[in-house]
Amino acid sequence: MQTNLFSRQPPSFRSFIIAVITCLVVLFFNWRIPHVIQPARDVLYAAYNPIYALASYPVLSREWLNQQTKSEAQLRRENTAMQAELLQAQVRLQKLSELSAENTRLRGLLDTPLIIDGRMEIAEVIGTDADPLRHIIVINRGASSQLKVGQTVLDDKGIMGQIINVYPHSSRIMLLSDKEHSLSVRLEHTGMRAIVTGTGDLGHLKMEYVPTSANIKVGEKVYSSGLGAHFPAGYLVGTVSKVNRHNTGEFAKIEVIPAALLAGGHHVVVLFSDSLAMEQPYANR
Amino acid sequence: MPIAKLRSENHRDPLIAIIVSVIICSVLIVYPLSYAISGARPLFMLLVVLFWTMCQPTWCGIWFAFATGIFTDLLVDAPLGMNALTFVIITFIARFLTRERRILTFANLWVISFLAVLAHLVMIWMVQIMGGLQFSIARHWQPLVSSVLVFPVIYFVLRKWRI
Repeated sequence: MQTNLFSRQPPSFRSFIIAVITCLVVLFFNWRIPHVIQPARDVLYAAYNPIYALASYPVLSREWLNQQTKSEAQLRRENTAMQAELLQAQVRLQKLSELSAENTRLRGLLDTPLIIDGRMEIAEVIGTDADPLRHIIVINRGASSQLKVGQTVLDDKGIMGQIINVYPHSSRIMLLSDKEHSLSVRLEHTGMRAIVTGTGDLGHLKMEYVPTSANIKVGEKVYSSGLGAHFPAGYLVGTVSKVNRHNTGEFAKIEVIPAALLAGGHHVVVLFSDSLAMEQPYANR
Repeated sequence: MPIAKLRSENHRDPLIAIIVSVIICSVLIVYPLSYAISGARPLFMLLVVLFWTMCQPTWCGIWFAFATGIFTDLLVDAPLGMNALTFVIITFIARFLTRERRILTFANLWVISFLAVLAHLVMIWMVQIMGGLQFSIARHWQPLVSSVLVFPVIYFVLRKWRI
């Protein structure tokens, strides 16, 4: 059959207008009320699956081809490399078991009351508080290990914080760097008392209420004073890192870097010794 | 006596070819490419729609362009109706402006395809600006070159089914 000689006629305006209006309506729906369109989209995604599968087929087949066309020499090379790797891994594994034995010995040593006055409990850090603005960690010891609220927590460098909640098998510890945490301290050289407060920054503490005239040097160590009812005396808190006397107030601005690894650390020590105030029989006189 | 110029053997039924070409195009427009190359991916669907509407006007018209546009929108997760709108407008204008021509040569079609791709990119650009979508201006114009280069391939593959 012969085709229409005048097939190149312009398309009708009517269908064009209808199509454009339909497009605009669909665009409007998609823009204002997309949840009406979404079910249709979801259904059609399933229908499109073969197309997506077909599109990903060349990628998959390239991988398959790569696998199939590996030469024997290549496989031999790979095999040699893997054997060498395996040997290395086994050597490392031996070392690891030795390290683990050493670790056990050291932990046993730590557990003796020779190092620190009074009983102590070693705990593992198992979590942090969900609130990023609080500096609170969770340890795996609790009331079942006779822990109580207010006990001091240390690591091998210095004081980390204190227990604020005790649950049967875990406890929450507020770190020194928490904004709401304060601690009574004593300076190394002068023995002057001060208060160290958290700033919300894990690497900085601030020392408050120290008069501008006080004799404080950068690098001086800061120890817990044992005053107040919580912390035992004589444990390292941190080092003075900055002394700023040029502010207008009557107190100097002093920064302290905490000695304990507040941001890291896996094991902590919970102390059972009492604070100085509790140890002194006539403290409340 | 047979009519010498009838060439009826060339006028094959293009339905299968239309469907297959649209499916192959949809595979090509979702074929996974790296980010750097995918910006220059030719507008396969537009070129094929243009070819069919210009070379098979009895089969493919405004509604073919509309349907393929919606199909493309769903396939590439574009705002529904965006490609459909540009396809319909481009098809209509191309057909309207060539209504006086009996035969479209390859050179004609190539120039038309260039203008169509340009018009498509401008319209998509405007829709994206209006919709407040974020996109890269430099990347947006890359398909122009690649589409113009790809059109001859599409033409010579599909030439068998043109009138």
